Amino acid sequence: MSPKRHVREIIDREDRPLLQVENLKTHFDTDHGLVRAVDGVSFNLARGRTLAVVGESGSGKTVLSRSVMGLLPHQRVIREGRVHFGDVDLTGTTERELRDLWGAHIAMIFQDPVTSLNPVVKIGRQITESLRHHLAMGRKDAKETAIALLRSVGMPEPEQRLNWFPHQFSGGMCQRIVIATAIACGPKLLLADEPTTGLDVTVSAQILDLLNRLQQERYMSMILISHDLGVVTGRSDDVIVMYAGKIVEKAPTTTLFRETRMPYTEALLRSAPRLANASHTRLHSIPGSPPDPSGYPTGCRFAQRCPYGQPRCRVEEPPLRQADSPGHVFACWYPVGTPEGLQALETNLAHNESAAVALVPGEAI
Amino acid sequence: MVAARRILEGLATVLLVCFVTFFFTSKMPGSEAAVICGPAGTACVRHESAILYLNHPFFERFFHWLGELLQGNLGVTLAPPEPIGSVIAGAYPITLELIIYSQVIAVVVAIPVAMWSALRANGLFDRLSTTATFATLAIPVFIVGPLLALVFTVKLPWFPGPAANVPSLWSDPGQNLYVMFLPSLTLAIGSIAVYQRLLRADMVATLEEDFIVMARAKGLSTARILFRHALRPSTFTTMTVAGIQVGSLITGAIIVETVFALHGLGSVLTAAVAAKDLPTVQAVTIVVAVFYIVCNVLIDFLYTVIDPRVRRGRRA
Repeated sequence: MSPKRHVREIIDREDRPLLQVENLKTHFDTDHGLVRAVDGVSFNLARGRTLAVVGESGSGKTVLSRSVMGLLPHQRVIREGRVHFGDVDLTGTTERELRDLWGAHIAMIFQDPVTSLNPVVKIGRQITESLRHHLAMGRKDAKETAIALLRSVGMPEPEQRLNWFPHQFSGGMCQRIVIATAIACGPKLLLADEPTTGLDVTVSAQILDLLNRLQQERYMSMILISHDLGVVTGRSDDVIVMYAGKIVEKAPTTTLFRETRMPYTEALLRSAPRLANASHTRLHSIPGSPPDPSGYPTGCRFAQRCPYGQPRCRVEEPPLRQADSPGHVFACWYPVGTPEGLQALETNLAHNESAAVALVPGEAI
Repeated sequence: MVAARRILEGLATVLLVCFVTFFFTSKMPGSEAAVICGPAGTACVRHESAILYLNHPFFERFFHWLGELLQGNLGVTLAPPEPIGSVIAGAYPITLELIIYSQVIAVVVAIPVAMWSALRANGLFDRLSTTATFATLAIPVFIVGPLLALVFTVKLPWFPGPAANVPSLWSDPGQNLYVMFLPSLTLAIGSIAVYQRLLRADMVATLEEDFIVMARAKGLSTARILFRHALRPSTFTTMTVAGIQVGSLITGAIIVETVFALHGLGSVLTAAVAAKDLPTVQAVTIVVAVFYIVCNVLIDFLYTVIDPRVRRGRRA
């Protein structure tokens, strides 16, 4: 099987990351004002690596992934910054040209597998569609490839299942079909937007393991979006923590867990259940809710909910700065695990600030 | 299983329609015998009444009539006496063609217009097409027909005028479709508006679905996304309404036939009503009702073709 691609080849040089995102902004012009969903995000992603993007609902993760790809609504969207994919500038490209990359070189897996498959089209055709479109495969070749793809994502009896409709499969199986569709043309970059949100825990782990295996076998770069830091552990090389449309901390995965600097990251870690804890250990929740994306406060956007928050945080926005370990940056004036941070927390505890008290429930009165 | 039940329901409806039709026509003032005899006098009326079972009780007459109907005998026209079956057989092709042709025109026009409107919802084209469809919805067939005839046969003689000879569809299809175009377009105009509105609304909703975003993410062209992914899931409301619309199409066909002087079921019916020819009115009503029911049963089956989730009996 050596089909001729009739889509453009991507020149992917070894000395430069596959994906370079510089100061990407994505704003929506709505009736309620300008919604700044992604507000100046920069990162690089090398070939064969996995980058996790973590944050609460509404932090801009999904919009970030769609914006990187250029898969945005047609109207009332403002997208600024630069996205380089190999030698292609994705920000300066029309949708018609992007279509040659979508599905062929960049693929996406969506949150809800059941609704992302067309209910009235047989799954076989949903998989072969992009093969026939991008790789100009014949009907027979495409069908054989689809069977092989389904087998590789762990679908039993793939020959018969090609003729089934999505409603005949469980949620987990639907996500396997979506994954098979996404990897069909051998993309270099895979964007997985909370691929396991709607699935139960065991199925969720299977799907994540499958994604990891495929990513390694096919030497893809992957952006794994999740609201759960636990999901990301051991499945990503680097982690970006997003809050209110911005990166607040970025580090190699092990460093992030060991040397957490940003109070928001710490809060996320505390809100995830951990096996090491005794059962029935109370989970922490982060007080308050994320700020309204159509009117962010001045200063640090997390300041109002932050146990370490000081007057300075509400006035001056902290820039991303270098931590001790290489590749670790964070945006905070009073970082966790530093003397300044500790002092800020103690000051807040002395003033009985609710966010600080909530952080240390044992000492709460 | 489902199919058998649906067909049985359809048959029950046909039976009910037969009863209601017979009941109301038999309660109409004026006797058939009087129509046949005209001024000939009471002896004639008594004689004809005996032949036509008019002196028997209502239910006996109904079951006699139904029995004949089930054997395919629709009765005889009053004056001059002719088998109603052959009268209808000569007239129905025109009406059937008018309805089918108009629906083909309506679908061919409505689908692209609805798609384009939905794709740029609230854009210029959408607003223009909305205005245009509302305008056509507001104009009744008996205005549209003469208007089209005036413009396209008199002012611009592109089409043959009313009373043109209609050749059979099978012997001269080109000429037939040409002559029938204007009448069919007249009937289609109302349907175009209805289908365009419904399809546009459903299409706007479908285009918001996750599977459309996924189709976009596959790099498919807009045309492919619209026709392959968005069209079929958007047709359910339109199909349901199309089935219900068959009724008003038949009414519309009667008017169109009158305007364009076509000899279809409509002209048979209007002539029969004018002549107080009750057996013919009954027979045409039954034929039309059966056609309507058959159309709706067919549409129920179409759902299962279009939406695999409606199919049963396969594992879930």
